[in-house]
Amino acid sequence: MKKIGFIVVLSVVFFSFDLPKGAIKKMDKTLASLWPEQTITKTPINLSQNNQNKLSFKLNNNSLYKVINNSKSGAYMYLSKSKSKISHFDYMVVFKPDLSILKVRVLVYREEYGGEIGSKRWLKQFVGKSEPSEMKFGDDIQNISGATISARSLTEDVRKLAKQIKELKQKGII
Amino acid sequence: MKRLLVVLIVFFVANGIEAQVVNTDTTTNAPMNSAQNILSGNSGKTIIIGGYGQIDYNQPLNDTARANGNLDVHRMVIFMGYKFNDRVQFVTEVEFEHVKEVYVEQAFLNYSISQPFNIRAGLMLIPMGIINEYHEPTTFNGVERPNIDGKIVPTTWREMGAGFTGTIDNLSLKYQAYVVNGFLGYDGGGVLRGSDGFRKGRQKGAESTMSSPNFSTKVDYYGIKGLKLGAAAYFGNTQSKMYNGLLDADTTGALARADSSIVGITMFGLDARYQFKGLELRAQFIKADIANAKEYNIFTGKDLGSSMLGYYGEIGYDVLSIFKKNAKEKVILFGRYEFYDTHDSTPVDTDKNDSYARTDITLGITYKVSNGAAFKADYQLFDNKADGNTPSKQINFGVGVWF
Repeated sequence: MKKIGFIVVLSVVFFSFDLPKGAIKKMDKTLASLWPEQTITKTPINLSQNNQNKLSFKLNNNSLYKVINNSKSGAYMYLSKSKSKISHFDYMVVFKPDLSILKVRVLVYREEYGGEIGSKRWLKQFVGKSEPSEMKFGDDIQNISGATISARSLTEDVRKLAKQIKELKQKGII
Repeated sequence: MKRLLVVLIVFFVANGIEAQVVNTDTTTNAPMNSAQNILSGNSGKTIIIGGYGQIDYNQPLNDTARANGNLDVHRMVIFMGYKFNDRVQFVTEVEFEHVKEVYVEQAFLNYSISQPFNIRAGLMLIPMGIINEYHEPTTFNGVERPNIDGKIVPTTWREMGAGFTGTIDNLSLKYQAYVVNGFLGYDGGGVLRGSDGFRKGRQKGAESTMSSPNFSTKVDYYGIKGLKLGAAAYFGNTQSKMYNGLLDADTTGALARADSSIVGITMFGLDARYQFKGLELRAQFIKADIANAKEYNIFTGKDLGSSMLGYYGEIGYDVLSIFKKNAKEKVILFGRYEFYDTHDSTPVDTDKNDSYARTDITLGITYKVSNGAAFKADYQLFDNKADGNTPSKQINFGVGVWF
């Protein structure tokens, strides 16, 4: 008899992040694909005012999550937004415990122009990188012709998130 | 004056007008994006304004005679987008050409059912080649657009129509498929001709006449890093005002005459763009077959070819990237070779005009002072296959902006 895979993603939180249902499903599926047949729990990291004051940036509630798989302390997931030509798009970045990028995925893209950046093969360019200096647009991260605005803004934002998560670690908050 | 400015700013802010951010600084860590985007993104309704401009100076060079230069605010385009909600957007571009001509370049409603499936209707750009869809002057090298994208692909080629478009993430594919109106080939007289093919037939969405629908499609593949490949096709008959009111059971010969006032178009295009660090490569190939050109030429007295063909290859290199790794500016040296023949073949009874088989060589520099602003300069050599033709030369200087 075939063993039936056990894939569960527990959404512990209420997503004030305003993601459409389809996007939440896509996010859960992405996490499940990273750790197949495991129980995955994601918990938001919301800061106390005290911790927030220590930071050089504002961490919004329900934008950073601790992702735990099979009870092992796992990874971090950022949910964020970036600009496309006339709209914005939602994406997720999963960081490994060592803060290198494990996955970037576009969850909702809201216009036709620049939609090329959703390409899984293009987004693979970020995998394994952790230093913002390794993610220079047009050099380390190659552009997609005709989708430059979105490609550039996603790259800049992912760099920023990489910087932020480092700061959180350095200051002992995560 | 100051007060007026304050009032204007308050007005804009209150109405949710948001400047389109194209130029994200690559080094600054100003807390501009994620946090603020989250706040701004959920406001629902948003107007976006942007635009682009192309300002040219063309100076023909002549060894034996004086030649006047041409200074032109060639294109000034105001872009406006309105986001009704996450799924519904209206996009329009209003263009001032040569300062005094006003056109609507695009005006369409996009309804996104899902990312791979959008419905789009209105006045849309025909996806064929590179420049027609991506014509903002900071996105291409050279003061002027390549001439293939003018003589064969009549940029800016836009049509009224409706269709589907979307991107498929797993396959790294983008597709577009539209049913559109076509060129008006007969308006009391023939307008399509040998020198620039369909260009005069563009209706530009202005009270345009339709006698039969056309079909336009393009697929782009971007699964290889730095590379984008496109394949496009366009089919259909040109439009004619002669059909209106004709009986299906016509016996007077009027229907046969009307049939001579149209041509059938089958156009294929392939294009490729590649970027690797400072290197930029581009190539494009276009072939258009024209059916019924013989009857059309006899009926209208024109010299339209029965096929047109053109291609170009371009190489560019950002030389600044060699000396300065983190430069915000770009200094791109480029060269482009173009061949295009609007009389690739001609119907019987139409003489092949060798001067329509043209070769353009363009060498120049694009100095990008910001992502959305460039100074351009180039030298062009225009040659053709006509006997005894001496190539003509021209230098161009220009400013291109996109915001």
